[in-house]
Amino acid sequence: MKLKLTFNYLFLIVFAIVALFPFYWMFTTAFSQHTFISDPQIIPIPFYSGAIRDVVFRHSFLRWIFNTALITGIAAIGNVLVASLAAFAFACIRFKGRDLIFYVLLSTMILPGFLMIVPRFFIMAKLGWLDTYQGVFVVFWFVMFSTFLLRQYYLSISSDTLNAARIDGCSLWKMYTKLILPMSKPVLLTLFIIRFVQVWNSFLWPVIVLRSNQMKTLTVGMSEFYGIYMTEYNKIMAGGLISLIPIILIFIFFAKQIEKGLQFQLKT
Amino acid sequence: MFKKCVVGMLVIGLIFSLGIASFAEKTKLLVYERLDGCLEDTTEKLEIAFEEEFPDIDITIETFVPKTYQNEILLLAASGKLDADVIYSVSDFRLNVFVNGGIIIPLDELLEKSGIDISKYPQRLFQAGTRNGKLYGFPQRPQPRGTVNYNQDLFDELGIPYITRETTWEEFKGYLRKLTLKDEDGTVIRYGCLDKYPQLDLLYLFGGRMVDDPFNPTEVVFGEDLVKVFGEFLEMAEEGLMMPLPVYKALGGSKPKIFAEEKVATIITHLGYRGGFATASFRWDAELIPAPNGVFGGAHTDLMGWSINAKSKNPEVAFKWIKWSTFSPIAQNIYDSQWEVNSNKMSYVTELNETFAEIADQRQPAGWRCVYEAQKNVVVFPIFEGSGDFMNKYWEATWGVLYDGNSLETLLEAEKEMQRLLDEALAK
Amino acid sequence: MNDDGIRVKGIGPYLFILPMVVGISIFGFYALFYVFRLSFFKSTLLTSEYVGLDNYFYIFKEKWFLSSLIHTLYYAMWSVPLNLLVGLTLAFALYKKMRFGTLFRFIYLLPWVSSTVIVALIFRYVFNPEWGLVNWFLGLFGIGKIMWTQSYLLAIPVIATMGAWQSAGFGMIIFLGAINSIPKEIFEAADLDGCNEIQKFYHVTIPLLKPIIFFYLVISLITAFQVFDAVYAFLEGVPGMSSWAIFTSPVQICSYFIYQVGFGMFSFGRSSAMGIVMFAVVVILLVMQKFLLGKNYNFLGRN
Repeated sequence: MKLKLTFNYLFLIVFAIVALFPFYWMFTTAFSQHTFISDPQIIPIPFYSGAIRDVVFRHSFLRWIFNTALITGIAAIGNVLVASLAAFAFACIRFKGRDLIFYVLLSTMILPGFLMIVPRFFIMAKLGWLDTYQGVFVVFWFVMFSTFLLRQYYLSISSDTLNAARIDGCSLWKMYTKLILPMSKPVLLTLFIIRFVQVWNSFLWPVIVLRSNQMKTLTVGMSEFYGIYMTEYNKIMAGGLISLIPIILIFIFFAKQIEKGLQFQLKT
Repeated sequence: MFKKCVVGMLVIGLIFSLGIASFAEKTKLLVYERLDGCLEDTTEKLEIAFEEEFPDIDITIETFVPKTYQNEILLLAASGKLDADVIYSVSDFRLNVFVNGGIIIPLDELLEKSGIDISKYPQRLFQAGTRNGKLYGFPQRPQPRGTVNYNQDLFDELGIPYITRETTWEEFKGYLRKLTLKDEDGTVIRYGCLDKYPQLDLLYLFGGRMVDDPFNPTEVVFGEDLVKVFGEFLEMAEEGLMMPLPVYKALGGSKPKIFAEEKVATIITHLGYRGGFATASFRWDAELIPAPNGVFGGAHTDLMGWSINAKSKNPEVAFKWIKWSTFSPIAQNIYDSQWEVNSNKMSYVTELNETFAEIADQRQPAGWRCVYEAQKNVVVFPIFEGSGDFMNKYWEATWGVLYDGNSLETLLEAEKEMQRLLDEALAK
Repeated sequence: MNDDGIRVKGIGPYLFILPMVVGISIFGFYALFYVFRLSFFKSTLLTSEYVGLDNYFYIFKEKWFLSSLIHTLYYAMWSVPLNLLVGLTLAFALYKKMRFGTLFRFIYLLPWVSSTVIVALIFRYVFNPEWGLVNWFLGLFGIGKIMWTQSYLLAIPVIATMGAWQSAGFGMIIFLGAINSIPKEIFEAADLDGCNEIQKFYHVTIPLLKPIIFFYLVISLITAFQVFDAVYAFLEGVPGMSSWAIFTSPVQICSYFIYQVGFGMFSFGRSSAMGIVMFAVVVILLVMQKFLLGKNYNFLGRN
């Protein structure tokens, strides 16, 4: 048994090194003078803080962080709420056309995002939402990915529980708020984290909608470092590192709840 | 940080004083710029300097992400929300799209009124922005291709004179022989030069010649001379003076990288790379050099300058920006200062510089409609110029790539063949 | 709980799905129909011309798009199982309470959080034929330099590995949640029945995970067809490349063609047609996948 345990640990440690080395390299490149990728410097000598300085001060980097955080937060929360509403209905309630509607909605996930940019852009132009926060986050609210995931979880809730609640006089809404939401809090949190990361790293949609420097998100702003003639890799790595920080903070902050969420058990 | 504060205070001060001083309506001007790096203090400085010279104009410059700039403009135009007066435009097929879509206006009248004498500049630069006989794009930042970037420190070390506009091609080849470093086995450690477009070598192998129209060639343009040029390049490759494409890719495929690492002593490319080469630790400079037939000494204008939005309410005012940003030394200084380049290195100049005119103008065959025709029924477009079916032509046209008729299959085959030949050259 | 949900009267459930349906109708369906309609035109968005099925004929005449579908399929073939494998393995290695468990879970989440392009650049370095770590490591065993990026047969599995590395954390979270949501009673019942570890694993855990595995497979397949930036960042060092260079690239990903033809060359009609063809292919694959996985994929049922 002990052997199995140490083997387990060994495997995990090796995998962890593999997972972490690239970040170490990102770190050393960010503090180097290289504007191209070459042999990685294991020790960051000479230490050059120009890239970080440039990134933070010669661009509106802090503003970008704010924009990204705002847009991502609203997008993730909104999506989780809308999706859980729909997932509850799809999973737990029998109604006419349920399966058909579900699969048809699911098919909207298949078409690649960049093809849909054109019509969505026109919609946003008509609404006057170009270069605004809502132009970006509203699109992320209506994504079937979340509904799909939540539905798979909610499928395990037995009708008996729900019917019992009904006998107690619960309306659908009460069922949702008093029963489903609290029970699935951990999954919702997990989903929130997943969506948060996805929106945080999104590029194709924000870059098209957001124009002015004050409105850009991190991925958009950092793409400026990919010049036509020169790609400033040290700035890219520096920016990449800095944009990791808020996410890592969120992870740490929610660590306890995430742990609980990964331990959650559905009532039977 | 301090600089930013000063600039910020200047801006506030300026706005404040202007606001109090004049209740008169100022003309508003919106410019969409596309800058590598998009450093914000650059645009702030440009705005301030411009408003100093034209106090009755209130200018805003917005920089877009270079990668998606064209898409953004297209989408904005298609949804009717293109509000800028001046947009940065590029002289390739996208200009055709904008012209045919009616979103930009011809600049000829405005040009005449402005009194700029363009006859002393390379006409091709203006031709690049001309469609249907009218000028739609004003070349603020054309990019001469055929600029040799050379490692000055290395030249010093080997006692080679610096490259000037008087350097002949033969002399240049002589330098390359000195610059190329091989070890005992004959493997090249440091190449004399790099040219990233050796597809032309292949063209030469197929006995290429340049004609004026791919489908109905009537005139042979610089036929034998062209073959001679390509022959030159091929010879250079065979002598080991020129880094072959596969080696370039294996070393990372980045011009700044191989230059900084001294894997090549000179790089023939266009002027836009100066920012990238700034990372080299040695002194370097750049000069236009006429290739034997000057094909590479010519100016290739794939980046350009300005167009004026058809919806602009103040086209004359818009043209003032065009004129100022292109010719004003103050503007040029600001554009220069964007890159943290060391002294003695080339800075960002306007290529509408008279001295470029001598060399640049003579060389490249007229217009963009140049086509190379090879013997085996394989046709090459260096660039294409569109009317009508330009989308098809774009697919078929690349820089010096071979293809057969309308089929991209053959293009793929031709590229593979080229790769194979180059691999052979490398293996020798 | 093999049930189908509760019965209700009235429009209640429809109200619950309303926000999602409305939103998706606007941003999903309208977009889909717009693209579909556009595929019958020759359009630069500023000008357009009706051409009927010409764009589709063009696709089938120019075989490069079809071959790119094959490359992409090959990619999906590697990527989907790899992702699933890595996600499940990590989840199973980490679901118990253990020392540093939280730390490990955190570390594996990191790659997923960083930008795909940066990860691609890192992998590009590691797999460089000349001085990359991988070839150096293989060299220690006397294996010659492998040219990872020359042929799509080799390059694509490497890229799929890159994808798996990055989505490891994502799969891990999802499967951890699923594993830990299996009520303890089921395991206790199995123990009572005298099952050993392996039997528990195969006959209890896996079947109960089927809904989530199905979800993950669907998502993986859809995502596999949408990668592109990372692929070219890996191959060329810059995300995306000029349109002419793509033909010399060993790997041709269909979504990249769709992007280039559309946004690179402003040929939106053709691009839309390609998108629709890709859409059809993915739908067929998904239906096949559902079919292969059998019927009991919808419920967390008790045995």
